[in-house]
Amino acid sequence: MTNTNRKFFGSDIDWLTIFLWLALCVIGWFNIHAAVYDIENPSILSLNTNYGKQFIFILSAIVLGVVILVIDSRFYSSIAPVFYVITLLLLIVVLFIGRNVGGNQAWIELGLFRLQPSEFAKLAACLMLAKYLNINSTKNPNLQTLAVGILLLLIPVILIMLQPDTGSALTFFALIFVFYREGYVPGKVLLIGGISIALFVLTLLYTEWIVIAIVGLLTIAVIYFSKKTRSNIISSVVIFISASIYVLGVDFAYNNILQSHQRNRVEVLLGKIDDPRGEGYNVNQSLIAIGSGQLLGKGYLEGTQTKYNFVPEQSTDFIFCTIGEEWGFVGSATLVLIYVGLLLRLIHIAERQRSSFARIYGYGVVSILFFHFFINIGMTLGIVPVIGIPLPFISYGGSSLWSFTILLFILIKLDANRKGLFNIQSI
Amino acid sequence: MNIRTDILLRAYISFGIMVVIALAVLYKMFIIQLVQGDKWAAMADSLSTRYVDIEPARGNIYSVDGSLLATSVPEYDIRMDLLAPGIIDDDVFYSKVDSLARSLSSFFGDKSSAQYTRLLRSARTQRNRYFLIKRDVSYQSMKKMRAFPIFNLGIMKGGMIAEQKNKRILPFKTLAERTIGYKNEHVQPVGLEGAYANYIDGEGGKRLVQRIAGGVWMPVNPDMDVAPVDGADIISTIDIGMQDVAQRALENQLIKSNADNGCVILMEVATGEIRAVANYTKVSEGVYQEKFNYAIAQSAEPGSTFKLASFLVAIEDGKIDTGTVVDTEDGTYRVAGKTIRDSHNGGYGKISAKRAFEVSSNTAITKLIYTHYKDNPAEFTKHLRRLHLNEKLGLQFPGEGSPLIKTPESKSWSKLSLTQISYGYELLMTPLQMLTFYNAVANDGKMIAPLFVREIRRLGNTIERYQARVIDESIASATTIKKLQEMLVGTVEHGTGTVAKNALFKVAGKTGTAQMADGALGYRGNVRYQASFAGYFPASNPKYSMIVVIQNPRNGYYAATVAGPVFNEIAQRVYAGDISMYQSYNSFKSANNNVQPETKRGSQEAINRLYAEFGVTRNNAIETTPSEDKDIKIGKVPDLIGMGLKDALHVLGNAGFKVSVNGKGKVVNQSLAAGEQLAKNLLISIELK
Repeated sequence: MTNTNRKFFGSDIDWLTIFLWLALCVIGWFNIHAAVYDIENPSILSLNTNYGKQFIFILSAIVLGVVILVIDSRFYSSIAPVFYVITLLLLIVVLFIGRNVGGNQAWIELGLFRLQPSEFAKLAACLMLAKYLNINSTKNPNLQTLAVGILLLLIPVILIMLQPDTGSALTFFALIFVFYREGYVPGKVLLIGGISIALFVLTLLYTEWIVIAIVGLLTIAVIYFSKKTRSNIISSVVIFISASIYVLGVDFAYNNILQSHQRNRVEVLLGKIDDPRGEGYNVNQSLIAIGSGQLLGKGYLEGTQTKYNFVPEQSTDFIFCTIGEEWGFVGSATLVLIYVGLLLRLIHIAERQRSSFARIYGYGVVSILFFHFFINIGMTLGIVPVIGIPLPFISYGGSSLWSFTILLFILIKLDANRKGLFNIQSI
Repeated sequence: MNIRTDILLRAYISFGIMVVIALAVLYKMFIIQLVQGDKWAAMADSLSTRYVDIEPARGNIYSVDGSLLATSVPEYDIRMDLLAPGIIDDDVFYSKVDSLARSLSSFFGDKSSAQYTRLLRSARTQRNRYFLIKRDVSYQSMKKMRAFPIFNLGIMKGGMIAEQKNKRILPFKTLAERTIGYKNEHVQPVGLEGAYANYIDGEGGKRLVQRIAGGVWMPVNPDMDVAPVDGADIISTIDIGMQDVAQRALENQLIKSNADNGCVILMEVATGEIRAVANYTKVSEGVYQEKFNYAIAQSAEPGSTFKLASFLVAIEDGKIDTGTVVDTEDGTYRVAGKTIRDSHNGGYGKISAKRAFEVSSNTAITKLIYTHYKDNPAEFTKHLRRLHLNEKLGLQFPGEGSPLIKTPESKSWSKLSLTQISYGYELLMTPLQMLTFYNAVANDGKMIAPLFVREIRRLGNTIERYQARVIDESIASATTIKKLQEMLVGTVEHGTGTVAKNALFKVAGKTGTAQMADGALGYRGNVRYQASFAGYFPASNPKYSMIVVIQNPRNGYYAATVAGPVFNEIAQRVYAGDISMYQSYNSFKSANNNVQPETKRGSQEAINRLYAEFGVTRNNAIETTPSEDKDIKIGKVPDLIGMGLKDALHVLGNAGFKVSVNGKGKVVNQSLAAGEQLAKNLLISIELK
């Protein structure tokens, strides 16, 4: 008992992670203040504004963090299935008694407070996946385990799609990364996936024949520089032919299957058409906000785009605009570095776990945070399509902050106990 | 070993992907913020600040007696932002949308509340942020709508958008509406509104505004504004009472005679100021509207009213005199292959020229003119032209029809032309041009152009004042004019114009009945007539001249039965209403007693002169307020209490204040305290009672 206590206050806790987490929370709080600044309630602590509420959310998140660190780490492994089932039930319930805000049936009303089950579903799925893969970690990776693992993710995804909240549903696919790390998905598959995406984008940007020509030239180069064995040449030619068919297929599908408004969205994203009032409105406003911040930014509470509500969802999904506009390149680069620092630290933590449950869970946490980080900032910068998901720890919202905090602190707790937990699967 | 490197590789790739993507994000940020930063910053400025146009207040149009003929009032288009902050939540919106629909339905009564609910709900589904609810809502209604459910959540939160625009209204509705005119976008402007647009419109201002929280545009800095210049007021010469009389008399007669259209013009003899212009066109059986300004625009053959000009020429040239005897034979006169007939069957026998005019004998006038001018028709037509009958009047607004007096050099001149012109055919004149000629005769030969606008005022100060243009000091010798006047009086007393005769005062005038050419058919088609009556009253001391023209009356066509009664009715009513025409009034003298009449405060000199004029001896002992005429300093608020509006405006203008006026009478209240030294160009409001 004494031993455990000393560990709790001792060096086993990864204070760096906690510091980075707190830094992000505070950065978020100040920028929410700027984003929804209310002249009548200027104080950052005024409780009838969203920034005042965010302060309460942060305080309660700290309490939550302490509670998580105090609870025995075995609890998280054993609670996983129960938590998973409860979350699924909530996701079903919300479809019937949920409150519809902005087109999504995503909130359950609990007195003063609104609960968003989809936020907690990410945590539940992550824990459940870790638990399930951990049980099977003694076997070699096989297709059956992979299939069940994917099914565990698909159930909440389908329920969330019914709300419909496509953005949140997409985040579950980030957990595919976990399968890669655990050896269920070979690197080749990721490589082929990456090449497919690259060809897809290139085909939309340029005409299909140019892309095929480039692929052809690359194939010739590969054949020229590699050992000119029969099998090498044959496989190169096969790859070239399949790539060409794929390119033509993409072109056909794009022009004949997609609806015109969907094509519009893609073309705005690719910069092929300029449409500041239509599909591109949000992105354009966001780019204006970020771009006009230039090197040093306009200063705290001085952002015109931010203050005058040009950018929609400014305190939640588009919070990065505020940072870009008011703190400039210096400020937003700092934020990106803090974020990447946190993610790399978490990969480091995951890799040093001796229990595969903790490692798998760690990768799950990294995947979810990374997906949110990249999609959210990417969409404000116009790199990826607009998908409504928050920037963890920064965006306004209690459900989001708490669920990400729980997600992170369970990992910190597992990490703090890593020396005492060799074989968690034996419990 | 292999497995171990494989796992390490996977971990490294994980790190690598993070780092590569982070670099990609940083690179993109670098491009947006540092490389393209200036471009985005400029766009941000253009989005958060802009210039808005400030609409100036349009000037008013007043009648000569100070009634408001045209003014502008604000009106609103009401729209709704269905995603306003207060109703973004479905529960709030759907629980209140029915009550809003009910309020709208009972307020406007144009749609059922179920229809409104359906519209609002579908607009909500379409996420419409600019949904049109109602156009042209008055200020009072707009205020009331603010209290409707949902709208009462607040100006921003409730989502009600009220867009102001100025609407032009004519307080007297159809009274002189064609003369007042209109000026709308995309339509040719008409009447005074169009002609004086430069003055009435004012100049738009500009204001730099910046967008603030909640999508509201706030003025940035008042100094950067280009202030709008409000439009000036037009004081027209129209008298609202006379206009009303003229319109009603004309409309009644048009309905009675079932005519196509008609017009009346009433002009003040001495000044040329137009007191009334009425124009009516038949739009359906028994319904007449102001559609076209016949009075100034319609050039037509005038018929017998033109005989006055023929007589003027012949008498002035010494060819004939009023006593010249002419044989009307049997009422027909064959000249140049055409038979001219009198309306009176059998003719009048041998009569004097004056009598021929009074009975409007066509044979007499054509015979006289033909006899004297057949060898040199140009002498006749040139003299007519010297009377300015071939010239436009140069009115204050566009649209005047062109007159035409032929000469023997004209292509269409025929041997018939001389006689035709002599009794009013083969020539074109507008009713107003004819009236101007009659007015010159009434005005002892002095011909003046008609006037529609007397004054242009800005903030009560006259900036332009119009005097009638004198076309000709004397169109004929005094003796000729005198003879013509007698002929006109005779026509009404015992000629064709007896219908205009009344017991109270003498009227001078001439009837005219003209056959109208029917388009391409000329005179061969359906015979249509134009009945007219031109003249002036009171004949002894002419005050007003008037012309009445009625086209294609179907029930009776003689001028005497169609146009004459209109002239008579208007003349009598105007006479009854115009006190200055009563001779006895001028002899009034104030009794010199001890009660000193009260004056408004103002220039002492002016008060003294006023008292002197009325023969009142001023008792200076009663006067307690000293003269303050010399106490006017820029920026010093003068004491205005007790002053009349004109004096107050004068004093304030000199002291450099802008004025807003409320009420009429004497000043009882002023918004800035007297004696204070303030900046100039401040607005002071004064209340009169």
